[in-house]
Amino acid sequence: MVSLESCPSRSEDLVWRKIDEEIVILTEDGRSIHTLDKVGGVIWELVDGTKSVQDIATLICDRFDVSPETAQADVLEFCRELADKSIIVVQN
Amino acid sequence: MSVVNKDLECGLQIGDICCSLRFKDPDYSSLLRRYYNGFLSEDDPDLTIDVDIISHQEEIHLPNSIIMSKTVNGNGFNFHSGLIKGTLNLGERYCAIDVKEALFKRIRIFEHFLFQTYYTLLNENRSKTGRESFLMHACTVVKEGSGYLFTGPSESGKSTIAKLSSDYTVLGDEIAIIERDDGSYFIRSTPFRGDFRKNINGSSRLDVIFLIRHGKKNEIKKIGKREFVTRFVREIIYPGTLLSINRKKCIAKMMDFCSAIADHVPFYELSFLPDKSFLGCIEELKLGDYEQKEVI
Repeated sequence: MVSLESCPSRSEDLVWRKIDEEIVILTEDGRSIHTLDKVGGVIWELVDGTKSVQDIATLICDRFDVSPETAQADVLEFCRELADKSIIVVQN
Repeated sequence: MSVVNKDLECGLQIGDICCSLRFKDPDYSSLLRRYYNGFLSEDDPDLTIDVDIISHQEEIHLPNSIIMSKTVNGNGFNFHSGLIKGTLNLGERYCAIDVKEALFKRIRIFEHFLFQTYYTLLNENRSKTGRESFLMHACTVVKEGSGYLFTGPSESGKSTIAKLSSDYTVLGDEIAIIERDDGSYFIRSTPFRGDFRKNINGSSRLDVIFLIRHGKKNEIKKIGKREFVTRFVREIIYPGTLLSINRKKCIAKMMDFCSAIADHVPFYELSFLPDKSFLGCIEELKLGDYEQKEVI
């Protein structure tokens, strides 16, 4: 379960590239493709296994015009969604 | 000196690669020679494959793909729990396979083995040629010296485009080779055909790529690179080889190839009516500075 204290990292089984400012992620079998928009792409690049969801939300808050509460809620939801798809893995 | 019985063999040309399939029963070799007419080769094969057909009483449910359900153990491989199993000795350029008879009733599934054979031999040759090639689901047409690639998922209209383009040179309607050589891109025909069987064994420089779909009007639309790459990469046939391979590396290679091609070859989305009028729409591309065009 992803919480604000979790330190998510990108799954090792994926290939991802930045194309036209968006992140394109391919699963290892090459059949499943995910794309992330600009904000999703920024979060993706911050998801490195060392920062907590809370840390990432703070950085997003500094970078975009968004309240701390909204940033926390959005980053948490984003990480949960990606964890459900095994695109990120979580260490609590 | 061994004598090769040509009646038992089918030498198949796939791009630069030639492989010889040898059967015990001449019915199978002649079936394949008929099926792959136009792509047969008498050249010295890059790989000789002895094929043993295994008959069976039970009905076998064939999957749509056997590419991702293959296991490898040393020099041995096993597709989809024994549908095809065999061993490969690349040093001797020799392969032996046992194939369940049911696969010869749906040769298109057997062709998945040939895709991986092609990629295996391509990997061996890459250091010599420096070229990078992929198989992909595409219809390829040469019209007045320009090479066009039409790609899209199943039922998007690849065979329809081939039939409607029959006044021109159709390289294929189902599986094409797309190749990068010294910074330029080329398309080549393959023996792997869909419904259109009058294709030519040949190649061309690649000038334009279309991501196709049936539409209520003919329309060519510019799309962004991200959208192009995500749709185009789905149509590349996974470049797995017969033996073990680093999957992540393969996928990365596919992705980088698609990204690079987008920087070198113009690409569009084409919605088309099932008649020849879409060809006029494509003709207008040559007039330059094309943004979006509709042809009634």
